[in-house]
Amino acid sequence: MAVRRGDPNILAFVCSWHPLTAADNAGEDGCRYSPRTTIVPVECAGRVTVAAILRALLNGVDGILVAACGRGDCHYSNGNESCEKVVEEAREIMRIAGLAPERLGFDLSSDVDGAHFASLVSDFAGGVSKLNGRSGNARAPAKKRRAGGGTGGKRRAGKRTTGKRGKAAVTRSGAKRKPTAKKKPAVKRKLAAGKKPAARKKPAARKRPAARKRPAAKKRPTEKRRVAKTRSKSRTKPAAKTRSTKRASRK
Amino acid sequence: MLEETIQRTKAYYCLECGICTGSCPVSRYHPDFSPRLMVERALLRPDGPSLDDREVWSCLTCGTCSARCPSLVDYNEFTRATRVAARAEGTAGIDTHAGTMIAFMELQTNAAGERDLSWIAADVRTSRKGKVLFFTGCLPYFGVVFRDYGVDTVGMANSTIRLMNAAGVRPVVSCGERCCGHDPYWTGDARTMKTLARRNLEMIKESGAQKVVFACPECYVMFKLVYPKYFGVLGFDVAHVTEFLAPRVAAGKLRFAEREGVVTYHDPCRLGRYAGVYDEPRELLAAVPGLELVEMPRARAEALCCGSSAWVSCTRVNKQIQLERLAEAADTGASTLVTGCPKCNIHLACAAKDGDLEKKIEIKFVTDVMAEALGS
Ligand code: SF4
Ligand code: SF4
Repeated sequence: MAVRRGDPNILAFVCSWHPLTAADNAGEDGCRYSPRTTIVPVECAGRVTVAAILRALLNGVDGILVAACGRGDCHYSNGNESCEKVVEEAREIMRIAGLAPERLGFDLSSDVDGAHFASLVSDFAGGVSKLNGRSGNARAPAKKRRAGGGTGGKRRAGKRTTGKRGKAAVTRSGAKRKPTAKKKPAVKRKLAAGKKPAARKKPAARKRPAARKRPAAKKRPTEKRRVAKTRSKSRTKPAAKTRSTKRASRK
Repeated sequence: MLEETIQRTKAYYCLECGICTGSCPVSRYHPDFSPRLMVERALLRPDGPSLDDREVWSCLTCGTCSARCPSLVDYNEFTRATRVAARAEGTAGIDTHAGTMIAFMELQTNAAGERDLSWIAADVRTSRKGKVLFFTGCLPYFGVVFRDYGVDTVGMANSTIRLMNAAGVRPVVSCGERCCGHDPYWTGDARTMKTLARRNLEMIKESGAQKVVFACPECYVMFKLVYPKYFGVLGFDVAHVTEFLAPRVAAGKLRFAEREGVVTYHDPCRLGRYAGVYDEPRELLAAVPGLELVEMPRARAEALCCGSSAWVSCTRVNKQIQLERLAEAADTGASTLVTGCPKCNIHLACAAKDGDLEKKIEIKFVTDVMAEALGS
């Protein structure tokens, strides 16, 4: 997706558990979403502070999206709930400061479907660009927003494609990868989506090498995704199981 | 830089008497911190005080030491200049409240739009143009952050306007207002302060106001003492709300109903030692029939600081200072501690919550007490 003039500059704080898995899947599946989106992975959404949100606005982003795991699904018990409070407080402060609170988006969801993440970002970006167009809303003047500029956001280098699914999609690291032909169309996948995200992704997962330890996995998005998925799965398992037993049982 | 600071603050006059450290509320609980040592280090070490020392950020800038210094060393300015230098070196103090405060202050330098004024209560009257402007400062912002602390700073702003209304004044409250920059200034960020100040001065110029009234003593001293240093003569008068109301109360423009109770008054550093306003708040409280005002042993220029300032470095040391002050207030037999500063109110209320003293003594802002007593 090429960057167009006026595309809003979005910063997304994405929790490293469910939402980041969704973001990775969006990249792998070639889902399209607003190209000027910078993803900042955070270990837990509960680590996002009001100050971080306000500083992002101060530094000229048009909108901030905070993606947390769904209710009851936080790996650290209540990070998503404290995040909710932080978002509320930040919105109130923004309102007093004369900034539209809609510039701060918040999603509580454990949906790891790439399409979910893509539509989340796109819907949010759509709302933000409407705000940018609105007069009297204090943001950086439009002429400052150069197309393709920004803060190292996701940008696609390839040409525009006509198909629904991009030929060249961008993964989290910005590398191009071809979507595998075997993948089902997004809509169907969505319908077929089971309640347990990890179970649904199993076929794809099996093709890949066994999960590595996290530090190594961080280097490559695919592997990170795998690890993240393992974790997503772990949420649905009894808490008593250790990671190694989980791995064993999956095989 | 250091040379210049020493010259400007007259640190070279230091007699090593130790009165500053002996007076300092921080040193009392935190032996590692010593204003005398800070000055000595600057004077003796050619490379100056070490800027990554966390004690650079421990001073409350309460002014007790400067007020007592026989050589008139301006230790507050010394601290501020050290912080500017520390900042230039890339070190900073630990922001309290996860940096929320400083962040929303900085936000007002450029990103913020027109301030929302929906916090103004339905029963208070403001006007678009007029001679008197009420500068609300960060009160609406604090209202969001400190709701859980049981401190209603928005209520303080409203009660201030209510009292002004009762005195026959409908102040201008502007949506072009910004933070006064007090906290960035005292944490060594003069640039942010100057940006904010310029915007405020422009806003006031446009409004045509001739008198600006403040509820927060910090905003007040910024306009009274700091802005003129950077921007010259401001072209309008400034007054703390207590200064604004006291002569009007004396003239009988405001009447108060009978109230029972014993209160004590806490002198904020900014309003007291910095601006020298000691009598007006007391005159206001004395104007409420039935209300008895008792003084704490340490009052007026000797008053103990509320224990935390500029939203930097709030540790157990600060909590101990606050608890000491609350105990002192409770010992007077007063049921209410009246403060002249919304921030003192916040910090002391925070400590009261911590120390489970809420039932022992109530902490209230002066305009809240006065507005509640308004009557015929
Ligand atoms: S200004 Fe107050 S806190 Fe700072 S050194 Fe002096 S007495 Fe201590
Ligand atoms: S005293 Fe309480 S309210 Fe004041 S800075 Fe410290 S933690 Fe915050």
